[in-house]
Amino acid sequence: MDRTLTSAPAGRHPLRPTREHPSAGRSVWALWGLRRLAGGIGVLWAVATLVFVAIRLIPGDPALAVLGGPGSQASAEAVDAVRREYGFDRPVLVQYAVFLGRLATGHLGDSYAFRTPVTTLLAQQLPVTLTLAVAGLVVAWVLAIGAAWWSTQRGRVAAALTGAITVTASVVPHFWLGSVLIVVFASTLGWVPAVSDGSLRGWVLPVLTVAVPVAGYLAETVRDGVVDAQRSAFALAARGRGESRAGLFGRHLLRHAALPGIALSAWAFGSLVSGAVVVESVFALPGIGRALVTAVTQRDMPLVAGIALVSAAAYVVVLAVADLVERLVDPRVGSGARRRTATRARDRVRGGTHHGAGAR
Amino acid sequence: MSAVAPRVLDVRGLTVSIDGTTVVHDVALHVDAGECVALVGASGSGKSVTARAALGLSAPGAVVTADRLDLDGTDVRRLSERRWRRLRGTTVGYVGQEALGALDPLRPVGREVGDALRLHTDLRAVDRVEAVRRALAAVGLDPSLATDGRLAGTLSGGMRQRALIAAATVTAPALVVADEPTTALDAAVAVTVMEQLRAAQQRGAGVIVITHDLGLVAGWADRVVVVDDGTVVEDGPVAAVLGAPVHAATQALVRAARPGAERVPAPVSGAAPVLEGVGLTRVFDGVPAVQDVSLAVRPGRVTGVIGASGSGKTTVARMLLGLEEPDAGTVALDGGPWVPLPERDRRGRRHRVAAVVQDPGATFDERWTVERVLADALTDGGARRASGGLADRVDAALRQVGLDPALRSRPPRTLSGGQRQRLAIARALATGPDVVVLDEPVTALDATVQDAVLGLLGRLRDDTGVAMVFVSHDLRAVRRMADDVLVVHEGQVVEQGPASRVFDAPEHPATARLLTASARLAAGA
Amino acid sequence: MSGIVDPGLQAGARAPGSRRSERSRGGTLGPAGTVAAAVVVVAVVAAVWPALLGGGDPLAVHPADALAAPGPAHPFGTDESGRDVLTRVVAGTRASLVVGVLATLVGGFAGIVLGTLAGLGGRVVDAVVGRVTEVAFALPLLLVALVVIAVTGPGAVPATLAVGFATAPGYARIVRALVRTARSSQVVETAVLQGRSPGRILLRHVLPAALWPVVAVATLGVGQAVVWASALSYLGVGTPPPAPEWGAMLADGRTYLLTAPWMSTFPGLAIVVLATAVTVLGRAVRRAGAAR
Repeated sequence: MDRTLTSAPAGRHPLRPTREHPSAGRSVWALWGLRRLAGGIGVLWAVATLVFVAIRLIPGDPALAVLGGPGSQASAEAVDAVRREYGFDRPVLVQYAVFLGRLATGHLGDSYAFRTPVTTLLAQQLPVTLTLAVAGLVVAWVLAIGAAWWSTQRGRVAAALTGAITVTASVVPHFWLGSVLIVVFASTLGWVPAVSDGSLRGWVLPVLTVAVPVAGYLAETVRDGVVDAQRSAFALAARGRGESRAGLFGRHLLRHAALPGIALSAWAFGSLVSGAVVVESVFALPGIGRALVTAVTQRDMPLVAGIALVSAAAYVVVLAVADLVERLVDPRVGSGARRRTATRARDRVRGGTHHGAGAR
Repeated sequence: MSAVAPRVLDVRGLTVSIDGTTVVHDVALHVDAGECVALVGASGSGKSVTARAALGLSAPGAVVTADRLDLDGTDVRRLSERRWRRLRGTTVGYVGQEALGALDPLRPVGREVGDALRLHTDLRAVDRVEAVRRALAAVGLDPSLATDGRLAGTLSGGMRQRALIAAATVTAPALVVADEPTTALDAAVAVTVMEQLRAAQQRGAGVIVITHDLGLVAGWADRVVVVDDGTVVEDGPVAAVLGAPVHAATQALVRAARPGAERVPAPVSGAAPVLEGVGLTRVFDGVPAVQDVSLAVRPGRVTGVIGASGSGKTTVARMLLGLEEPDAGTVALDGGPWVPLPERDRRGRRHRVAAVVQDPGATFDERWTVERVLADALTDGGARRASGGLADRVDAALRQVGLDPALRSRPPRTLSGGQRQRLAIARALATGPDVVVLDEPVTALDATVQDAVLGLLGRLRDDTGVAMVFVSHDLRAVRRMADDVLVVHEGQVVEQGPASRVFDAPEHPATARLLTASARLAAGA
Repeated sequence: MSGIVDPGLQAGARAPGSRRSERSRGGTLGPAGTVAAAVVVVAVVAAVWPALLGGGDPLAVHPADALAAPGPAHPFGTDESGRDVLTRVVAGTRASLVVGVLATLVGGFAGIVLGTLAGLGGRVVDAVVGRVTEVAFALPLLLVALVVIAVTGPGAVPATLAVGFATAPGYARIVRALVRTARSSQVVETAVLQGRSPGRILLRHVLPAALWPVVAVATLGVGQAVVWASALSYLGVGTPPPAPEWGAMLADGRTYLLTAPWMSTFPGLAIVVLATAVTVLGRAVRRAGAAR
């Protein structure tokens, strides 16, 4: 039955004509792009507004803050000049408009902690953090898939062991892990340098450190997805056709298990950026994470604002990419179908004494 | 001299135990090429376990021993997983339960069908596609499905089931195991599915059909093996077993499969209809699901609503209950407005209308016990526990539906499907409603359990005089219960009238088709 | 960004008990859960009564014993000012547990309120709250925390509030999904058919279904909060020195990483052990609750 009495239509509406294979028409993608762009701009605007509010909340004279904080010995004229330039003497709403206007034209202001324009700083340091985050995500996925394989296909001992490792991994603090890895692999074994020296090997430890906690979460999700999919009717049908374990895992289970993981990856990216902040401190990498800490401790609001906006923009992009990947993995039209997979995949073929459709 | 057909499956002394409990004990079974054997029994009788043992796909933790377990001549008792994989898909094909979920929703159907070829033959991709196209055509599907990348979700239930059969038979296995192939499918679709299995049988395969419905077996199988409580209690040619059942379990199955005496219709009262729908219309996304449907449910009478899957009958039921706002049309309860109406104006009269659904399990709050469910229903949401007079009423309600009062403290999910449905019926009747709307109330149950629950419903109707709206695609059930019948086809009422007249002398071709399909399914024509 | 662990609940928002694999036998905690519970009990004891487990003054300075390796007198060694690491680790338990629990309470409460509003409200309310949480998710947790601290200044209380605000959107998202699922469940539809009032349906069916899973998630969240709070202290914006706080101790130990690794190892281990124990305990409680 496609519908039951007390629930929303469970499947395709019975009378709807059979849907043709979704045509990847250009208009469909254009619409998608526009929607995401609009959403992204909305998010950035909201972040900018939040930043503006945060800046206004800082106690003290904002003009002084721009010039270097309360301790700076700025002359009265300099303070006045800044006040006029930034419009601090105008009503709040006008300041807001000015602020947004400057942002829209790419003026993020000058960081007074570093005495350079924020845009310059970001351009220099953003690539480092992004590389760290992206590489971390890739490594995390590799580890997660490996852990999912080990905990589902290799027996009870392996499963228990992998389970313990993933739980621990998901809560291990970056700064501690980094230190331990440095002690073990850099100073004791000497395989990799302790701090980054620009070489490829110098990236190994930071990427690993940033990836491990995320790998822990992802492994849990992917593993749960694999276990669920394993009990599904299509897994049994595939095995009934003689599919091997590896084939079943790669061709069927992984795709289903990966779906929630892809959504999680978008969130994980933010977690990676947070991790990058700490990891850059530990490994002395010149990324925006380190800059952020400096900015906060020195109340350098233009820099904090710039970093917030950039990371929000990065998140918007990552969300869009995750959505794209999800559509590639799951070509069904509409997210409702995807949610229903989760439900259907849970329709397990019950082994043993239970009967699927009937009951005593 | 005719050649002896080779034995594709030979099982003797099969014993399976799972987690220490013996589930199947000393089962003997054999299938020859070109014959169809039905493995019949109630839920939990061990028939699925037996079949899966024949495939080496027993549940993890199962211990399988047998005196003989030969698959097309190969002794499979001690086979390694790798050797088993070579047999599965080539020597034995499996069409599983819950067929609707048995096609990977994320993979193109064409690939799923061609999997067995990819795994077991050396055919090049081009040749594989050709073979898949032939297999799809053989089951009556569009051969372009092999390459157009369509997913299972775009196919209807019947089409998916046929694709599964194609997938299982594309390598022409010697044995085809079909586990509950027609459950939850309506008669017309079920017929096509059985035809495909028969076609495989005619091509020389041996076919095992596992089912709880002896009625299905009668027309399509050559031999029947009846399983009860893990052992074979009776087996032999279909006519012999059905004609003269020896074992109690077989007799119960035969009783459940019989069409059953037509009920004596309740006297037609001139009373005004208790529930009356006029001109109900509902459109989803531009597609009319229900068009201008009118029906009148008179007190004390059962109105059956029949139609194929997707004909819109459930939507009609939902509109009658006020769960869905019709785009046009009204429903009146005992003359007063019922739909469309703000819920708060209906709330006071809700106790006069009750509903019973196909799968009641999801309608019970997980944390509640049987006692709480009934206490809540009897006191209109007031009580959590039953003591004193209320406890007596709860017990009486349980007994009225044939449940043991000792079940009071158990959560509904620990009950069997049949028990849950009885509880749902008790809950529905608790407020003394004037009309009960039932949507496929027995479709998900075993044949013997269906028999029992339908008997219960009949008795309750006679005792309480409650009116019923019985929505179902199962004509046997409706025939047994209904006084008046409404036939729905593609959202419209094509025929209505007294049940005896509609069933014996249908006027509309859609009705005739439904009846023919049901008859064909039973007779195996 | 929320640091909420348990991706299973976040991604799918399934109510507990719907997965058979999660049910343990008979509603007990299981071996892992029991060990985790024991660890948590020890931690609570250490927080409430530090003298019992590692007596002494965590602030007492003994320059003569500076940077001593672990031995009979100092089982965990000493730091650069000669303070006993074991004493400081035990003393730091209180700060970590308190911050972790408080931050989770703050975030959980805010998240529940937001999530319930979004889940119950109409499309407009849902859309508004949805956009707000989306924006909140757009900013990495540490960034939000750091911005809060930039405004308020460093310290333990700001760190608590910062972690709380940063984790609230995660809870909100989960609660919203659970409330929506419960609202459209067959249980609720049946209650409507039985003529129950909306208020009763809300209290009896929707809220319990939505809130109990959050409690389970919150226990996992405590582990996360402990880690993030330590991170803030490590970065120097949390609890100020010389108070014994694990993250701060790790920051101190960084300079002496190669010469006195025990300064970093033991506080770090403490963080890992506590966070893991709380997480495992949370999972075990959820499994036991599902088996009920």
